[in-house]
Amino acid sequence: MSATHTDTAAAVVRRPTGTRVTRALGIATLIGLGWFVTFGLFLSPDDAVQLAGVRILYLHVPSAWLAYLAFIVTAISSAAYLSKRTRSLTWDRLAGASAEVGVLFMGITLLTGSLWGRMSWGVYWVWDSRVTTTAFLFVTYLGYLAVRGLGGSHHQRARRSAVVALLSVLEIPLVHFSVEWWRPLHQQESIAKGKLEGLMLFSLFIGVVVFTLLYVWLVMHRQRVLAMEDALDDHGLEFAIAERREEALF
Amino acid sequence: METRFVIISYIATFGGIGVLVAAMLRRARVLAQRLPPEDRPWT
Amino acid sequence: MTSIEVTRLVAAKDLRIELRSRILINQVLPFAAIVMVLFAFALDKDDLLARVAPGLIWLATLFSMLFVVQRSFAVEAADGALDALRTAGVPARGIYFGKAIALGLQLLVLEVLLFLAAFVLYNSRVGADGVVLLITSALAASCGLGLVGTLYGGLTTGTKGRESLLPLLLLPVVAPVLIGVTRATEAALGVGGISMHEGWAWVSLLVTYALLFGIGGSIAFGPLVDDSV
Repeated sequence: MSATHTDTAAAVVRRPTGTRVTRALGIATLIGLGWFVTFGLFLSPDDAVQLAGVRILYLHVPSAWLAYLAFIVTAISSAAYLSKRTRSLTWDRLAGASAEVGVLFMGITLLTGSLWGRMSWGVYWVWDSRVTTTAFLFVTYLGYLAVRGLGGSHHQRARRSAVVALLSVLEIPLVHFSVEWWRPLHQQESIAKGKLEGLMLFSLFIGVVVFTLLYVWLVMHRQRVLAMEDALDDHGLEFAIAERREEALF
Repeated sequence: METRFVIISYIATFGGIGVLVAAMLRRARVLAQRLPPEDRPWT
Repeated sequence: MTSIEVTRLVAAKDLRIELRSRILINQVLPFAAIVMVLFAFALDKDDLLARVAPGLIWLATLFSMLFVVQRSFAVEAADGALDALRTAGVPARGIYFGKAIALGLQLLVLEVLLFLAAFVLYNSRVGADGVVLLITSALAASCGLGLVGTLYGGLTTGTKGRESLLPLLLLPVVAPVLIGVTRATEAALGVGGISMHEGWAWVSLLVTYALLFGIGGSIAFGPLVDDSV
């Protein structure tokens, strides 16, 4: 057991979390990224009203879509973990990885949305239902990730986080409806976003595709990293003892 | 103003993603060196 | 022992502990009162204070609630009381509702004091037609807050710096309550141009919230506290 560890430790691992699938996915993502930047920044025209500002939407709308998808994946994986038939730490790690990537996309959504809002409405923030609920989802994600860091065994972490994730599924609609009643969606926003067509719509579409590929790539890798972290936790003591023993031999 | 914001958005977005990807892959490499292949069933 | 008996006993236990230790009366109520005074220092204009009084009352309630929730579970963590109850096979649902009721009642006491403070400090006034709305909305909100506070309090109880997670988790979740009860209170106090009709609509949101978290919480509470190590 300890001998195998020291043998492999010497070898530099060149592709720690990569497989054929992720390599293909990564290449597809990079190609798509190239297309996206070409169309989004150069080939598509300026908008009549928003001028160049519409290009921010090509980032903003896909990230928002992915942030919500990531949340859904976290929720479903959490439910899968809790169900006795499919209890496996892989679901827990998938939930965690998806949440982390979701936070990233949520941050991008809020940043690009804020800049776009400054250009279109003159303000960096507006208290309407969509923006506020998005900010709430962001804070909820952060809370979920904090709960994942609370410690204990892997299964304790998994059960605790899964319950919190499902409670968030309960919470988010309540937040959405209460904010929607409080401050209904801005009329001007629906008009401004409704008129994309032609190359602009195509750029948006590429954006959605590329970001989705990126999401899958990120989650696959991150989930494997989390698996390794858990394995390290499990074996950590064995390895430390083995290393100390070998030191004693010299 | 528009051009400035567009540039900031794209740089922040892809720069941010790039930084996180680099950090994640670096962490993956460190972990993989310390673990036997059995702990990496996807390879 | 049925869940209902457990609920009654746990609620009585929590309230009895509070009556004897008087933490709520000696520490939390003064804190809430100070917060109300500080609001006046910060906001400065008298007519503004009357206008925003509902929001201030409920903000003070939420901030104070954090202490009450932590206190509610500190008594359980000491000597491993909650773990002992669970190991003895006491149904988690009973414990959950018992603690939620105790928490809700303590919050009601707190809210009464805060309303009085607002009447005195901010010159708030309520008409006869507003009183019913005021009381109903406070009751509905306290139910929801009690249920949610007990749930997340159970999650964050224990050692290793978990308590500091309570605000981050709880405050976002209670946002719908804050929005709803503040609007209802504004309607009851006759500020902010909200009609009584709208105020009652917000009460329905508060009731829905309490129902949903009552159901969700009773399922989730057991797994959450059993995990606390």
